[in-house]
Amino acid sequence: MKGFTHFMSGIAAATFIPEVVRMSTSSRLDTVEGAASSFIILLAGAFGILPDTMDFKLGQFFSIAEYEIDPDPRNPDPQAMTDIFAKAVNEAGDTGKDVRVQLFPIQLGASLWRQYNIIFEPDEVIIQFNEIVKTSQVPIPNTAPPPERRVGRTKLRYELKARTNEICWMNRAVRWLRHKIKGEDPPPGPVKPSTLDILSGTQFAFHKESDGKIYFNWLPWHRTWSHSYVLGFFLSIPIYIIAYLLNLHHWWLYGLVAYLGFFVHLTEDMTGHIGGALFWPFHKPRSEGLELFKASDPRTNFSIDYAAMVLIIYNLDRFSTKKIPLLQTWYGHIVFLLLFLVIPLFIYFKVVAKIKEKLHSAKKIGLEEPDGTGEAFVD
Amino acid sequence: MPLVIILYVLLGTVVAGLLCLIPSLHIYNVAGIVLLIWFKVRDVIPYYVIAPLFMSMIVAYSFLNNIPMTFFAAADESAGASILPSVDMVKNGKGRDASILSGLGSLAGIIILIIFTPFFYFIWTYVTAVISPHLHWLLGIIMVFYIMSEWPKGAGRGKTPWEKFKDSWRNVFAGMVTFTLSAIVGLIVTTKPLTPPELSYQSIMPIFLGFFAFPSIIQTLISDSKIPHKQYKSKYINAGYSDFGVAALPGIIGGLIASYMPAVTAGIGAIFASHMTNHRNLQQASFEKPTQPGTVVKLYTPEIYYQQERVFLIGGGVTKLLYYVGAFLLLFVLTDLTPNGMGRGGLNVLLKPVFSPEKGDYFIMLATIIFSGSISMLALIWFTDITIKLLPKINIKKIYIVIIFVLLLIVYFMGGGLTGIFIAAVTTCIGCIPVFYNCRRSHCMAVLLVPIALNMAGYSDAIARILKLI
Repeated sequence: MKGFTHFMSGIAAATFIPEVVRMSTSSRLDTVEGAASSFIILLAGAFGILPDTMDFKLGQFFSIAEYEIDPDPRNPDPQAMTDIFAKAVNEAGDTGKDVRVQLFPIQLGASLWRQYNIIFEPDEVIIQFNEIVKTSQVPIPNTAPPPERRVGRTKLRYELKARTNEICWMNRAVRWLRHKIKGEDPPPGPVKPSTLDILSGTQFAFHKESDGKIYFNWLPWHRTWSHSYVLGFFLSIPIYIIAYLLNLHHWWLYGLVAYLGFFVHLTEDMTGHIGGALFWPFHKPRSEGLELFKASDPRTNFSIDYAAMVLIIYNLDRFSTKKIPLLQTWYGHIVFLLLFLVIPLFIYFKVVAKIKEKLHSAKKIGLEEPDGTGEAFVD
Repeated sequence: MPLVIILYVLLGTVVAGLLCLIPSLHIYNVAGIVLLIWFKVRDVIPYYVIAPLFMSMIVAYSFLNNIPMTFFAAADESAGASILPSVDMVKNGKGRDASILSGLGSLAGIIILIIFTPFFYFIWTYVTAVISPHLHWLLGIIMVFYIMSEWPKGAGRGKTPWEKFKDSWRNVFAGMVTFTLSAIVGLIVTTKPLTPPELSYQSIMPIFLGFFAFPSIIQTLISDSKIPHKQYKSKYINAGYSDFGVAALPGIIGGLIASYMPAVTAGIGAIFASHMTNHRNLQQASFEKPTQPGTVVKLYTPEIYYQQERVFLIGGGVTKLLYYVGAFLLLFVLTDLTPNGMGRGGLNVLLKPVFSPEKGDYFIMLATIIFSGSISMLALIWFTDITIKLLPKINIKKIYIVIIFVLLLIVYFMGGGLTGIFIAAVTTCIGCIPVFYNCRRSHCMAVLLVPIALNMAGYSDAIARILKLI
């Protein structure tokens, strides 16, 4: 899931605790018992986004790659790039040690980047330069390099694979659950190509397994130690202590709310393709996910964000303001949730399905017409 | 009476429309001057035209400000690394398309305001009644997410973790510094107003000119980028119904957030909306058979990627209209739950001492918006064409030097004399941090967000005591 989705879900989860809502109500509202203008809910949001913050703002810098591929923007050489990549793979195979390779973006201007693909054949790696793209990732027509300087390819002595077969008890459990929900996994295919263009680079780790093949691990630093229920608990301890020392009313709720945000994040992430190292440091391997949604899928993210907003308003009214007449009766709750949660999301999915259908049936056009069309105003 | 209102609506549209063509001049500065004039001639201008007059001014601004924003403004959010589509389009000769698409977004915003009238009366009133005792922490979560969601823009080059960290964190650190310094300025000026009491309604003006206007001007003056004179006139509007459909959702979400939450600007609202919707990912880039000899694959970039420029501009227009016009219109939604309306924004603050809405005003204001918006849209097309014809003759740097003096005079005479100039100088220094370190410029909004959130929670006195301000 995306950061905002984790953030909103954490907050929504915290509002299910009546006392948290009451404490968060402005103390100027004297009709709510326990109203204390507290900012406690911020902890759920902050801890809800914290695991990714630790990864992308901190953890990734500690993953020092053995090999770096940082092409010269003025004269990028795809052959030199694939040579380094193959050397890293072969070294992992020859020595049996884990080897990481870091690829950097090629920035050509304030908002211009050279896009490139990394493509994997069973026995070789290929790097191909594409057009120059804007920061919006939209390519600029006719900017691809000439064919002789566009592609580099180097043979690999070891085969790459995308799924590991060295799995721990946690991975076995996740796979079991995934198979129960989705059925058997499709047969493992080749490693999918990657594209690199704007802002940040990417890192791959290579690990030789017992079958002699190299397990290809994308972003080896992501969702490891930072995505642990255990770490979340340890990080919430200072919150308990600070709240206690400040003599805050219901001091124990502060740590609990913080942990709740963290917990929701990790649990939501388990629905994606990469899981997390849920019990680090006691059990370090990163698990697979349930592979129900892609983390970037806009439908999943939007529907969770929207549901979080509706549930926040629902809980705020139930536990503090009591202004919504519908929520004064038991059946009103059902009507409210139907009217404002179920029906809008149903309409949303119907509309999006129609848009998706249109997108997929549309004739694929190539690059857009060159910039500047129509009659020139001023030459 | 209706004819008099129409005349004043026309006057407000024309005056604001012309003045808003001046880069860096904000509608709230113009509204402040108009209010000052009204104080002097209040016997001549009838009371009942005040709201329509100011409404027409803000409508005209929402449309015609697209011209300076498109052709003369430096990139706003995260300048440099992510050039806004309009800047990019001007560079490629599509400035006219950019300006008109933003205007059409604002026109779509008017239609949304009309359609949303039942929503404002029967649902939004309940939403505001439920969340108003919780606004302090809602503002808090906006601040927390805003800070935490600024990701490192550097690629993380370096041999050690520290070197990688330094390379990446420039913009994140700059953002946090900007936010903190702006918050401190906000706490100082809200605790100890530095402008004289008779100019209190303009006390925020020097601060904002410093945070936003002067740094933009400095950026333009030191930048060596030139506006390309060759601009094209498209035969059509270069957008389809689907662009408006896709842009409506983020536009409405961003606009509603910005129009209701105090101190949350259209830019901040748009960032939240884009995090929430991000429908570009409905169709991913895909690898296909090669089409050129010597290549391995063809990376197909879906049409939805190209659509995003148009969606950004149209959605931005919707958000901008809901933020400026919608926020003021909500002042007129008078119900049992909202006896004082739900209005927010600078115009509410300006007019609060002199004007109170009455039941029935809402539809007069809606008519004002439609009338003024229609004229403004036509004026936008006309003035865009004139601007493009004048581009080769304009020396934007000289214009900006003149504007600096005009703004300094406004600060001196309306913003507290030398004290106002001093405040603007301090905030200009802070406002320049995002310009030079590529972080979000809206971090400067901490000047209002932090004091308002603390004040709503009842902690402002305690914080002021800690900072030894009282």
